[in-house]
Amino acid sequence: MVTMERPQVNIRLERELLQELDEMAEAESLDRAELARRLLREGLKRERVRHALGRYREGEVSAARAAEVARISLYEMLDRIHETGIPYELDAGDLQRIDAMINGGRPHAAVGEGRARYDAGQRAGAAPPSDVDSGIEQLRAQFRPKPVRWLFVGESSPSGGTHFYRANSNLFRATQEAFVAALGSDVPSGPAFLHFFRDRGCWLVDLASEPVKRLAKEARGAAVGAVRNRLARLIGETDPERIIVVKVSIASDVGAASRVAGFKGEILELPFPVRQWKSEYVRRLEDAVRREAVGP
Amino acid sequence: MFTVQSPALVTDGVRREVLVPQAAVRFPEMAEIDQAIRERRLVVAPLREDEQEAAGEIARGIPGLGLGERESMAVAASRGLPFVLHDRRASRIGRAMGQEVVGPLDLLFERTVDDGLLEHRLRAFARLVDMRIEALEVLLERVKERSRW
Repeated sequence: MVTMERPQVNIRLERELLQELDEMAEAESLDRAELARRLLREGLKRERVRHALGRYREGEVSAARAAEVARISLYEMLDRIHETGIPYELDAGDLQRIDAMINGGRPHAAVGEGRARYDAGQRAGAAPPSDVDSGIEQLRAQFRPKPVRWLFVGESSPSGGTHFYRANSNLFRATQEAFVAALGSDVPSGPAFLHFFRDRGCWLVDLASEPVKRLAKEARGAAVGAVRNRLARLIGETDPERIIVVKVSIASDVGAASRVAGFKGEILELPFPVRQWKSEYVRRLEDAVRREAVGP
Repeated sequence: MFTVQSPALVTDGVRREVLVPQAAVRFPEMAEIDQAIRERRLVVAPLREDEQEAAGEIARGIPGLGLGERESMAVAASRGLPFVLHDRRASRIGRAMGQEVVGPLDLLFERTVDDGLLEHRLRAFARLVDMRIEALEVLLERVKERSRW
């Protein structure tokens, strides 16, 4: 058995304080010394926390060090910091670094959004990244519905780094607008619309697996032509009720791929929603959504 | 811009600080940290002898840091790695020592591509750390600025 050494300490107390201590000891069936030790232990613990919080507030110590000083876990200390209402202040350094990032360009990789790389391929003369390299392929797979009811087919990913599945492209905004027009304001905006779109069995794929806008005309034609078979396989695999072509100029390629796949459903050809064609895209897609009440 | 190494390293001091069984109910994200360690997305890196000495020197020279922070700084300095720190006081000290410190706001802005998602994450972070509303507004302004870029 380990016996704790207890050196004797004499302290002078006010008569009232001593009387209060005795009354409490009697109420708790403790002797005066035991109660005094307990109160001292508890008081010291509180004092350590208070002291540590003070040092944290003054910026002298980190939360982790404050926890060590207070002899409590980091999580308890974070709780105490929260209870005490010590706010998180921005400092000039935070903002300088954020401004440098903004002025330096778009973010180049995503957390929890696949491994998107925005800057790749956007430097002068650089080849545009494929959808696999840019992370689009992962995003597309993430938002693939089961089953696919409406298969939207575009030409290729935009070359500027935006994309429907990044919820920041012209096509994304126009499509969301058409669904709102057809189904009302309950249709979510921003990235939440991607989930809504998926849950209604809608999926967007591209004919080409890399941006073709910046390619030379011949290379562009070859890039699109070479992937007809890929689209045919995809149509066969997903067996959609309807195909929506998002760009009139690729309708013949999509038509050819759908024939190879033995697709018998309806193909709706829409213009790509930029400039004067946006309103037509929205109106015709709205009509289709309204008619078909596309949904689970 | 910073480079993210995969898998990321954590020291044993960090592991002991953040994986406290009693706190699991209050802080469910602990389970994710634990999971990341088990899947080796996070690797617990033992300190070499020189790194232990460096951590001791940091403790003596800079009394305001916790064990995990001291160890991480020593490892980051000796291996030439950037390190991620949530605590802003510790971050300031790390930067003052010439180290590449990545904070949560750096991570959020640099690595969240979608502006809507970034705004959502900033609001969640602001709630988590009791950020002043004025400070959050400043950050949301930066998001708008970024989307105009």
